[in-house]
Amino acid sequence: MKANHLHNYAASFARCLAVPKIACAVLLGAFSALLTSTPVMAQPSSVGQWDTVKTLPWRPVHSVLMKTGTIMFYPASDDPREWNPSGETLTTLTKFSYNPFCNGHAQMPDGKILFTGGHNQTNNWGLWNISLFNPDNKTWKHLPDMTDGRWYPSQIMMANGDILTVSGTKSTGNNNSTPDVLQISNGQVRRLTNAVLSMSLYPAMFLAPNGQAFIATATSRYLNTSGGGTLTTVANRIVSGRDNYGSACMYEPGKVIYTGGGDAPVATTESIDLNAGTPAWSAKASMPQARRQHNATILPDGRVLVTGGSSSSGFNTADGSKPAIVWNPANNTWTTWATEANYRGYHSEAVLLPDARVISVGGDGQANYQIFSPPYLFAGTRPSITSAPTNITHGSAFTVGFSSGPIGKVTMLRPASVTHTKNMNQRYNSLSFTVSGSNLTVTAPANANVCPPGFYMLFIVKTTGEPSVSRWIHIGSTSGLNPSTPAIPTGLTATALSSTSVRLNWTDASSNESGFKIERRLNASAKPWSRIATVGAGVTTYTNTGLTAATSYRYRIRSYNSAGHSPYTAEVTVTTP
Amino acid sequence: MRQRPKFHTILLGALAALTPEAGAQVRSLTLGIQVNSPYGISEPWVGLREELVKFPGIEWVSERPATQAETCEVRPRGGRLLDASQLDEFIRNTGAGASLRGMEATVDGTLKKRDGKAVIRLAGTEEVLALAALTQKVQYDFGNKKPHAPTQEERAAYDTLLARWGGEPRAVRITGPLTKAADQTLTLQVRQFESRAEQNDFKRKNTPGATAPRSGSHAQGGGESKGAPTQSKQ
Repeated sequence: MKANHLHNYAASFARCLAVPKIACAVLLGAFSALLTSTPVMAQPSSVGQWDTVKTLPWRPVHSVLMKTGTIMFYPASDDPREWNPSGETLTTLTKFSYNPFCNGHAQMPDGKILFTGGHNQTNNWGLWNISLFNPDNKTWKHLPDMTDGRWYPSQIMMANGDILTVSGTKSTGNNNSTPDVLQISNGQVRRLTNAVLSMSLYPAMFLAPNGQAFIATATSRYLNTSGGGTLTTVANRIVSGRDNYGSACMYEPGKVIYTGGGDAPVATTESIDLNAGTPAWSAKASMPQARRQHNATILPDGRVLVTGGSSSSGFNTADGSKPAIVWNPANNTWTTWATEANYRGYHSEAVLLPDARVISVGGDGQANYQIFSPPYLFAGTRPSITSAPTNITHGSAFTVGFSSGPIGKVTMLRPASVTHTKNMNQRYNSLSFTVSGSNLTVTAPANANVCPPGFYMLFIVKTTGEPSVSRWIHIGSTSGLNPSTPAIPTGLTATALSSTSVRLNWTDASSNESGFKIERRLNASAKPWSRIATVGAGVTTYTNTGLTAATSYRYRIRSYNSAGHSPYTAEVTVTTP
Repeated sequence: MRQRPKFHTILLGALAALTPEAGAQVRSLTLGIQVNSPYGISEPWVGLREELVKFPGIEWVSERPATQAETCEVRPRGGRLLDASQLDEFIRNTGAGASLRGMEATVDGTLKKRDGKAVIRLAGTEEVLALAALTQKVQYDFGNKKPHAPTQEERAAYDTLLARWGGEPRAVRITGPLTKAADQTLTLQVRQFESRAEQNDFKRKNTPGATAPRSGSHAQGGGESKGAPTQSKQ
């Protein structure tokens, strides 16, 4: 209710009672006091609207939007689920067969999702695994291992479909300073041994217009992934501490904004334009409040939405729910929108949905989510894409049919892949177009450096700001990996032969394995896996010697060949006498 | 004839410049880093190290922290002590969610008496540090949220030093936490020591069967420093 309406109502009420003017004044004063102490309800068309909070079985730590329009969520253990925004249903997925907590993830050109690293039983210790998920048939393939583990790595897809993975911690701690490239040409890992550098964990990283990876750390660098790799310093950030849970995004090709971060957190932001001759970080408008452990999400109209986070020093400091705020690159201003119901800090994510809403999910202690409808969904009639191709090529023209114009923007957004404030997949392209009746003739992004191959959400946005529901569109190469990995061995058993030796037996269920890899750990909490042995094809037994008496051990095995691995067997436990 | 001394002077000066550690009184510093991260020093380390190397008094920082002690090794510029308050403020301002929990120094100097109490005069300077027994280690057990407990040998290191010191000025190397009193007086708590002049004799007398030149324990934690000028100390 508008304030002036209440004033008028009070005045009329007083006149009807024919009370003296002084009484009217008192009554008006009382209403005014009431009005000043009661917040005026902002309209969704100006601040957006949060839906009700919905519960989940756990708090997702990783959120990956797939070409199916569904999101893979998984928590701090091997329990992935697929969430469908249509009906908001949750379906259990096949497990990774190891703990993927704190790994990296990004989309491949064919829409499969590649995952690198994981949690080796204890914090700071990473796993060496690489896995590929097919969203179409919900199956996993396990690729050749990295040389060492990675926990808290970042990864991006390069223009040719290779996946670059950097940073993270090794299988027994310490920074994994040698980048790995999973080559789409052969499914093998190439180490960038000429580009060894300890980097912050989960560094912000983006494919730059020059085809190199831009690593937006305090000392920002290019990483050329050719051959053994080459690192080149680009510029120093203004605020060095942002790597500590700040959130960054490439809001246009080559243009990166880094928001907040640090401990204590800052409200400042800064951006860099990699298209410039000599790129340099420069300050942008500060957010209305300091934030860390928040999420920056690019919207279909090119603005950057920031949700969640903490304004306090410390780790996961629950200092209350936060308003959604949005940065407009066109005029470098922040606008405050509606406030989310719950605090979402460490281990929270935000994902742009194909219908232009944003899901804000998780955070420690928050086994729930809330969907945000930005103001553009309340502004007026939304446009609609009536036809669009499913595949386009770089630089080509294509036709998009529409209704309810006029159309001011055509945009392509790469789906989110988020964890720990880092979105390793989202990208934004605004496309040039012409209008002819109810058709748009759109020019696809020029090359794979500015728009790497894969699936995107195609949006049209009215001149008045309302976005359509997106259509999935694929650009560029459809190359993918479909390795012929061997089948999982069955029937693993472990028998203590003596106080210092254990014999493993299993059944070979594959016909194309090169052999079997055996892993062992102490059967106690926080004891890491070690790769202890490899045996040849057809071998179905292994005796592990040199053990300690009266000690409990765990084992797991998997078959392997040049293409990759089977999943792990179930773990077996044995105690030496 | 007149040029020879000048030449020698130049040569000695050049040698001194080439071997800056030779006259360094502070061999290394072990910084106890307290972090907000639930994962300990590893998580913010790379960003923190990138800033630490910019601190004016620091010329070298270990590539890796000692994760089991939540410490890192630094070599101070010119072998000088660092101002702990300034360093703490600097660390807090890095945005790494860290602060200086404490600082342990390994110093070379001369053991002597001042006002009847043992002090160490830092080599090459007139700077004097009071000496005291170890009360608390800088090395920290992150899992159990408490400092590593001193070993019996470490606890006794100060008394052992005094007991075996004849009272004459004597060259020593001492390692231990630095503390600052309200009057700004610096005290070096003795956790480990070695006699510089009588090292071999000292080893024979004080650590029978041991190969380490120092008194005190090396048992706690696992050093990970790489390319350090001296061994990482736990």
